[in-house]
Amino acid sequence: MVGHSLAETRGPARGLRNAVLLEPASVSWKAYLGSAAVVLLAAAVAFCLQQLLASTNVALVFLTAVMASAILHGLKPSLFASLLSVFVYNFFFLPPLYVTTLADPENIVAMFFFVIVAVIVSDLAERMRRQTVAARMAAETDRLRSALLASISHDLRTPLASILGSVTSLSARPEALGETARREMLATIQEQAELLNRYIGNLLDMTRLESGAILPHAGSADLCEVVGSALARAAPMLDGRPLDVRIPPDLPLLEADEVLLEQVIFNLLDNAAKYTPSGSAVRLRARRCAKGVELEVADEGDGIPPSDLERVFEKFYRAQAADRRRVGTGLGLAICRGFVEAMGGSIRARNRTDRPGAVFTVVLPAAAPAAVPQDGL
Amino acid sequence: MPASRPLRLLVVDDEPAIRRFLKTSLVAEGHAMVEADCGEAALDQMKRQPADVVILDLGLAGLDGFEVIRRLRERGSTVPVIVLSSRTDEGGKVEALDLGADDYLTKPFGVGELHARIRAALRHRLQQRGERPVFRSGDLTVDLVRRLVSARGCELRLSPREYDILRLLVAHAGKVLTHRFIMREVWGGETDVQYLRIYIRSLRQKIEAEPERPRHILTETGVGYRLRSADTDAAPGSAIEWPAG
Repeated sequence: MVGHSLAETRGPARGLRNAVLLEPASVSWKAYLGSAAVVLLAAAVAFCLQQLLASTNVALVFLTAVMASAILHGLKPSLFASLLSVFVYNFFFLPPLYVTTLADPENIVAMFFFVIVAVIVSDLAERMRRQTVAARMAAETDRLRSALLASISHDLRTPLASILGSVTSLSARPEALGETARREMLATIQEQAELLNRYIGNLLDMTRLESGAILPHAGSADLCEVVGSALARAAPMLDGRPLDVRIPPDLPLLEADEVLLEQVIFNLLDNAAKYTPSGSAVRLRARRCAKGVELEVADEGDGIPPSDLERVFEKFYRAQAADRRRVGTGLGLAICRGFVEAMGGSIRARNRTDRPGAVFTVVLPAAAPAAVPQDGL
Repeated sequence: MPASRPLRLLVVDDEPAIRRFLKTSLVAEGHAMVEADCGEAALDQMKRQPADVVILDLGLAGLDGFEVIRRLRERGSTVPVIVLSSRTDEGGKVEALDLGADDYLTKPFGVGELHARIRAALRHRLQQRGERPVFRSGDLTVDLVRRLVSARGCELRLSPREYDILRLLVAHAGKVLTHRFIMREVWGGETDVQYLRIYIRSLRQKIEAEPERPRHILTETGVGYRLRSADTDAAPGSAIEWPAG
């Protein structure tokens, strides 16, 4: 199942972590401490081996340490390891011992070459490390790109196929089709075009999220109002499912971007419509909570496998519909999480305890209350 | 029956496919359509022979839709302008409305919606010449002379501010009003939009049967509010006839 293998794709967090690895400016003191530890280890090894090796050859042990810290910690810590090695090597291993001066010209030459080799090795190892990280990131981007292409080719082409099919039959021999068939085909065209529009909307939202273009407007939103417009927009998909909506009339306003919030609620309703049998009820409840306001969207479907409660928010995750048909782009819930978190809220999934079904809970901060208008209500 | 002529609609869009589909459907409704594929051509067209309604895409190459509205209004034109915008651009819609556009449609849209917007924009222009004393829509009645409001057969008690907001919505029934416009008209200046939300909530609790699924005061998320009006609702085949000028 393409949908399931794609579910392995990780969210943007992994990419961010890799970006940090690539960024040398953010090398922490821990890397330097690690490099120092490697040099000390080398010193200990060199100390044990000094009976076997000529003092100029002990340099090889320190070079190994420099290379190790370049691979482990990057360029700057490995240059630091080089300097430390120079000092330790000179102080403990090159005569005269326990002073920082060198007497023998042979040792001066050895020291000189040690420094050059250490710097070159640091640079080479660092370059290799960057290439490895870049290759890993490229592989991940490739995986995402192929997931996206699979999504586009399947999810966009399926509705296009039905639209094109219906249009060509309507224009080829309209008289051969009965009035009912004609009307059905027109309805199919409209429904599939609207589906296509929602898919494109999802792809756009996801792209905006990934590129960091989602900057929520600092503003207030009335949950009751936003639920109302999301319900109105979702009505065709909900297809007459009974709705049980309870929102307390004195609920505080939310500190949220109403456009993003409407999309979140719309996607949750869309999700409920996709994974529940037609005619089953959808329940919306809102209440105050410690962190602000909580909205619950509960359905009467099969619920979510417990192991997938977190994974449902991953990009391209798709639960299998009862008839083994893949539904949706696997983006709706990932967008919900992205939007809610961008607004400083949280979203989680659980299963109903009273009956089978999924529950999505969105928590958003309440807006600081506006002063009561002068003329009252 | 007053003598009537077909409505002259100017469609400004750089996509030939959009212009073609609009032409087919507007002409089928009995309107006359002129087209322009860029902002300059549109302004030119309006100078030579003004249209009754302008349907304007915001994302034009060159002179963009915003600039076209600005220049039209600078010239003193009051022609109703309906803008076409993309889904992700709430900011653009609000900006266009604040510049003087009358309404908007988000692409893709159905022709039913387009005809409803045209009717609402024209009705408002007609109404400015004489406000109708009683507004009726579904179970809502607003008597603007006696300042009486009733819903579902019961007379309602509204606060003065609630009445002001409702009266403003009635004066522009069927048309979208931005948050900023309502606040300016009702409070006389910029106020916290939170006030407006609270008043709309209390107004809905009084006039709507189900405040969480409003049938009268509709939310245009991120933009403002629209009062549903029976005679501008999307209904196929109900074209308006524009009285001869």
